[in-house]
Amino acid sequence: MSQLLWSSLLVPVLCAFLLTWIPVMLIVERRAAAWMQRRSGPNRVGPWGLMQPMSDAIKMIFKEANIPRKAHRILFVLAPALAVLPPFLAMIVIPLGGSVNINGQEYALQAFNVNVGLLFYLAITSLHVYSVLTAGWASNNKFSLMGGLRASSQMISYEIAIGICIVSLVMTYGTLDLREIVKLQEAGAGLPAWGFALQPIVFIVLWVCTFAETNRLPFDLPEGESELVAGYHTEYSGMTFGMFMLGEYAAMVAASAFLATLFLGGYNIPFVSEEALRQVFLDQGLHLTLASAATALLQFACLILKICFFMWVFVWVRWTLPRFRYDQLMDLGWKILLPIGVANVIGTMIVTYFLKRGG
Amino acid sequence: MTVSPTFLQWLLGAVTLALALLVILGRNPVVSAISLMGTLFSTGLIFFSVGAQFVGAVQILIYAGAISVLFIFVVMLLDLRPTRVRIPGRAPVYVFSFVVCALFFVAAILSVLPVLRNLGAIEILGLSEAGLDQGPVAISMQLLSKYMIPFQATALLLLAAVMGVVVLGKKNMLSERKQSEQK
Repeated sequence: MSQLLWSSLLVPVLCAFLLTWIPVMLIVERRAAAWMQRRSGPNRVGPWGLMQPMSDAIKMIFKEANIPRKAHRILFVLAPALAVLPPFLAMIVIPLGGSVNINGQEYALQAFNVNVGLLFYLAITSLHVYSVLTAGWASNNKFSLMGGLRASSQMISYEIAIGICIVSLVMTYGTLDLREIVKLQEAGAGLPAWGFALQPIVFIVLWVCTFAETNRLPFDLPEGESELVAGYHTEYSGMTFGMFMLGEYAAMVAASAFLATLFLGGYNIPFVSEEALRQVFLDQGLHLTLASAATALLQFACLILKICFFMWVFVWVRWTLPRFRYDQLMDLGWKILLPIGVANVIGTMIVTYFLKRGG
Repeated sequence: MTVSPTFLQWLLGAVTLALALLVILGRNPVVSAISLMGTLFSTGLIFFSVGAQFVGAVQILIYAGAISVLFIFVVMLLDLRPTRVRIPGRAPVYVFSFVVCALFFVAAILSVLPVLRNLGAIEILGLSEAGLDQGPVAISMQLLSKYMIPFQATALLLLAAVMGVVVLGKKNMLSERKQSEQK
């Protein structure tokens, strides 16, 4: 089996994985909101309202996708597609689990094993801003345009803070390869080797920036329904609006997976190394392929748990914090997060220098 | 090193060219700006397809991700109407601009002639020589040793450009202030 065939087998699995999150998150978000605000939430469709996302999806698909007469038709339709594309593309570099041994050949559970995975992820997610910008402009509506402009300046500002944070992270790990970063975090086979212990400040700053990049509350000024109706997707209806929702949740999953990979040890199971786990399965008398596949699946499950944690915090924060004012948002990005990032780079430089000299 | 391009590379090349043509032929400035983004993005993909992954990622991150956003941002705010570009002036101006354009075109053709000569085979132009397909470490080694002076000179040039913009912006502000004081 060639690497190409393996990758093309993994990509549909990855798409299905990412799409599965969306109905789950829809119901989780609405029930959690209701729970936090002491109301019932959607509980009529199916047991505990579990079929609610299904009925939402059916509604969206069968509703008319209206295109305003004065909108730019091509860009208006292109924008929702651009919203969905980046998170799906970004996910291909995330290592989902260890490797599977097939006929003595190790196949990594990662669709695109690139040696600059970290940069690739940042590059692809930086394209997310185009969907918002294009949607805002193509709708030919002043609320949409304001939303689009807000989104673009917000995303660019926070990208700078992210870039600076990544610099100190790369200095710590010494590689841009996401798979290698995960392997490095395995080394201690425990909590201290994980990224958030090595770079706690970067962890916090990057986490905050992730909220801004995915346009989630408290940074959802591009939507800002109290000021801008619905911001950049005011004019969208039916499935074109659904695509924006889909893109938002997919971007959240991708960002959570990225954060988990960098700071929570990726697919690593705490205190258990890949070899040890594989050995356990081998001792049970399993074939090497099966043992490695079982190990990789367990690690994948562990990554899913970590993603769940980040997703839950996304929901939690959304229903806890109020929205920022726009100048507060810019102040936070440029005057607080960026200086912290720069100071952290300098600190990391000094520590790395002395560690390298000492060792 | 020459290898014949794969189907994917032909496709990427065609998409890049089509988008690049759309940039100059499109009548709507916003569509042009967005196709420029598409051109830069597919150029990055071409870099990936020839194995220069670091260059590809940086190309997408910086050009497609950051710089074109600013272009599109400005073009949207200017609220330009779809227009036809007309060359101002009379016949001598037309002739002169035609000659200059033709010269540029010939120069461009001459510079890519080595590639065109064996069309159907990609010449990976010094990619492996410069270590560009090696990954970030090899590239940084080259950048900080062999190409140190050009690297620093580029940084100075960028700084000069930034300062130039500030000076130009300030000058207008100063003259405006003087005018308002005189009034």
